[in-house]
Amino acid sequence: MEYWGVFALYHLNGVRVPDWLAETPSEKLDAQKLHDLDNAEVRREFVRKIGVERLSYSLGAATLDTLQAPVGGTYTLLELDAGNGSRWKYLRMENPSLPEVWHVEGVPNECDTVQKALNFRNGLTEDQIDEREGAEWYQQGDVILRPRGAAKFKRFPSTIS
Amino acid sequence: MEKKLPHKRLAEGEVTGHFHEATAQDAVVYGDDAGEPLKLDAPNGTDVTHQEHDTITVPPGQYDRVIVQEYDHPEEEARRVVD
Repeated sequence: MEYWGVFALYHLNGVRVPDWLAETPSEKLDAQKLHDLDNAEVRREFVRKIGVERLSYSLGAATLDTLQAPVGGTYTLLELDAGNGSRWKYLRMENPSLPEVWHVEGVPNECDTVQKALNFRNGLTEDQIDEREGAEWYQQGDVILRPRGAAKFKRFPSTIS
Repeated sequence: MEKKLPHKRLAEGEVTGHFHEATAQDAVVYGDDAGEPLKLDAPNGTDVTHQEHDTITVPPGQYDRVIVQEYDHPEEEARRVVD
């Protein structure tokens, strides 16, 4: 928004942001700029614009754990330096239906293994998992179908796409 | 209170318009008062289709529909994954 060419305010998704963040094309954003952003909402918009995948790569994200799941491919737990002493954890996974398409989703910092991150993502606790007697469940993208009334579940979906 | 929804969609992308949908003729999706899908009843099993995902087949039964969640670090809160 520009007022008579004198000054301008820049917003992304309703958040007032620095002019360089609004005007720089996402592919030209410098990941290191993350550390210059003190405001959490501005930082969020920065992450949203640059993409967490490129951010992870550019900031040298550390791989904490990797798991080859029986379905769904390889999962990797990443930790990156978010600046100001913050460390953020993400779970990286391949789209099971679209080879070479990767997703990176935030998980709580308490997750120290891929399995814990997956449990969080799937809305399961370790107490609910019974690999032998647990109910089978199914997943398509972000939708999970779990048998109603079941108290225990297999660790991984029987089918995922 | 769950009520029968007038469609068989289990979830719909907010920005893509894509949707997960049960295809069996006798499949029924139940939702809350706001129309949010909560349960799938598939007495004879059903395929579930989506524009970008491979079709999956679920056996006969009743299912809770759950949306995977992610953690929003800047906001410091868990939220449903939105596609």
